[in-house]
Formats: sequence, C-alpha cells, structure tokens
Amino acid sequence: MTVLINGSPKHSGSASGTLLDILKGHMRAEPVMTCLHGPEPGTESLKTLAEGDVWVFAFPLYVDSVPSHLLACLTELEQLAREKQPKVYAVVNCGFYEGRQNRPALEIIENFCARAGCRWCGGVGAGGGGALSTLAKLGKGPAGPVDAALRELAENIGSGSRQENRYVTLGIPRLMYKLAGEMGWRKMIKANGGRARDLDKRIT
Amino acid sequence: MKLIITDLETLPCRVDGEYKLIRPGRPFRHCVGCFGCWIKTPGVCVIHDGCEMTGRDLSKCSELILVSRCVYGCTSPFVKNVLDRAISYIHPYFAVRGGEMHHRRRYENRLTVSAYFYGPDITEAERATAERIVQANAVNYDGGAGPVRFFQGPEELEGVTL
Ligand SMILES: Cc1cc2nc3c(=O)[nH]c(=O)nc-3n(C[C@H](O)[C@H](O)[C@H](O)COP(=O)(O)O)c2cc1C
Repeated sequence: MTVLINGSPKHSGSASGTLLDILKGHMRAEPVMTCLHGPEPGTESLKTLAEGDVWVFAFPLYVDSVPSHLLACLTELEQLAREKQPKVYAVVNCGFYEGRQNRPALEIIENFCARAGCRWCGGVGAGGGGALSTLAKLGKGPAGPVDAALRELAENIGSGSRQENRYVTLGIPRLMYKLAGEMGWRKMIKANGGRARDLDKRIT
Repeated sequence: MKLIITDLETLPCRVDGEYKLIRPGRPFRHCVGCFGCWIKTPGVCVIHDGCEMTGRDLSKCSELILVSRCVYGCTSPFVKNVLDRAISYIHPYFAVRGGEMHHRRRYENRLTVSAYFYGPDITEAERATAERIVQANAVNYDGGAGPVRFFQGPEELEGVTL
C-alpha cells in the first residue's frame, strides 16, 4: 500500500495537496492519504504509515530545507521506518521559480532514509509553488512540466523503481511568475487592511 | 551584534563581543505558512509566543550563528523552527541573484551565516547537505557564508570561541 503524506503545515489549500492530487490521478493502484501538519505524527497517521510499504512525502521548502514541524515528525518516524522498511519518495515544492532549489530538502529525506536503513527511491523538486494550485486548475498547459514529472514518479512508484531526482518548474516565464507573485502580495496586504507600501515596513 | 540560535540549554562556547542568544525555554509554536509576517503585520510573526521578533533581531546583527545538533543534514527542529519563524527578515518581493530567484531584502544589514553542528556520527552526506543549506541560506539572506563546522558532541564545542 502506498501512503501519500501531505507535510505542509496548511490544513487546506496547499500546493503540496495539489501535487499529491495530481500524483494520485496518475497512479494505477489507489493510494491512501495522510497528513503531517504539526510537529507530532497523530495516531491515525502513525497507523496508516505502519501499514504502508511505500511512503511519499509532499511538502514545501522552508528556508532551503524541510519545515521544522516535518523535521520533528521525521525524527519520530525514524524508528517506524527502520522496522517497516518502506520505500520512500518525496515531492518538494518551493516558492521560487527554479525547482532545483529543492535539492537540499530532497537530500534531507535521503539522509533520513540512510539513518533508518530504508530505501530512498528519489523524488521531484518543483518550483513555482505559489502559482501551482491556480495553474493546475487550468489543465496541463502551464502546469504541464510538473504534471509530466509526477506522471513519471507515479510510474516508478507503481513499479517500485528508484528514480533520479527530477527538478521542474512551471511552463511560464520567470518574469511573469515574479510579476504575478508581487501583484499577489499587494492584493493580499490590501485584503488585510494594509497598503502596498506596508510590505516594505522595517521594525526598529 | 551576533545572533546565536542554539538547541542547547547552555551554550558551551565562549562568545566574543555583544550577542543575543535564542535557546530552548518557552516552547515556540511552529510556522503555519500563513505569510502573516509579510501581509498582516509586516516584519513580525503573527504567533505571539516570544519568537515573533526574530526577523527584526536578524536585522540588527552582522552574524547569524547556528549551534545545533545535525539532523539528517539540517539543524535540529528547534533551531529550524526559529529560522522558519523569521522569514519576515526578508521582503516578499523577488530578486534574481546568481541566475536564481530569491527575495529582495527588507533591511540594509549584511549578515554572515555560520553553523556549528554536533552529533556523534554525522555522515559525509549529511555534512554535504548541511554545507549546501548554509550556503543557500546566505544567498537567500543576501549575505555571506561563514564557517560550517562539525563536532562529535556539545562538549567538543567548549574550546570554540564564536
Ligand atoms: C517559513 C517559510 C519559509 C520558506 N522558505 C522558502 C525557501 O527557502 N525557498 C523557496 O523557494 N520558498 C520558500 N518558501 C515558500 C514555500 O515553499 C511556498 O510558498 C510553497 O508553495 C508552500 O507550499 P504548501 O502550500 O504546500 O505549504 C517558504 C515559505 C515559508 C512560509
């Protein structure tokens, strides 16, 4: 049984969730979903993980590595991974454009597997996380490269194969992503009752 | 000023000059990814538990020093959490540096990031990851990378001056 693990701290609307939905859509055998939103794996997720022989972590890049709550969970899961010997894959997404910036986070999962003595099977590092959920709704167009990488990952999960880490980004130019992102921040601060120039605030 | 973030209750190293120390004490909640520190109360984390001002603290220092257990090539969850909670140090807008997208700076200070990792059997792969992360952090803060060193345990840090 394959367990898809949403490791974003967000309970809804995460890019990690979108990536897992796309991945699930490409999988032949129905996976089980669980989540690690906080620093301790809940009893439900522990039970699900104990039954899984394949673990797929999906999470955001935080400060060039794994979010702290998920790192705490990994330390809790190390023993279980040692006992159950799952095959482990990971899908990391980041707010910057280049998927390659996720490399250290994928390495952390690989290092976790080495500690637990279980099999690291590779993953996907996706850039452009800020626009992923919106663009994925538009179909394959701009999210096409991410979709293709997840299709390949699904195939490898299905056949139990290891893959090289794949780094992908959205099929839109970096400048467009940057401008849309910055417009997004202005909209969000205004929606919170602030002004665009408050984005520049310095605290003394 | 130096900002030292450690997961040790007592810092075994000596420190030259002025510094601020963030260490375990009152438990800090984890970042929930809301970006409130950019779009609700810019510069300050919305979770008020004693960790909300670290973004500002970073703006007042010239050196960020991490003293941490090495966990899979990363810092420990405690130290990592303080860093996650401090992204208000940078501005949400993007800048391209070295051909890659990063964030624009919010403050003018330039800081150097260095790290002192401890752990009984840190592997070569973990070292490589740790070094890569410190380097990436330095670029993201638009600062510089200082030394990244590895020790068998906290006691070995006793001879170190930060
Ligand atoms: C505390 C914090 C730190 C982050 N650090 C980085 C980073 O170092 N590099 C990056 O490209 N994106 C960074 N991001 C952006 C997230 O990776 C991005 O918003 C991602 O799409 C969130 O995924 P999720 O919706 O699955 O949680 C950071 C976000 C937060 C909240």
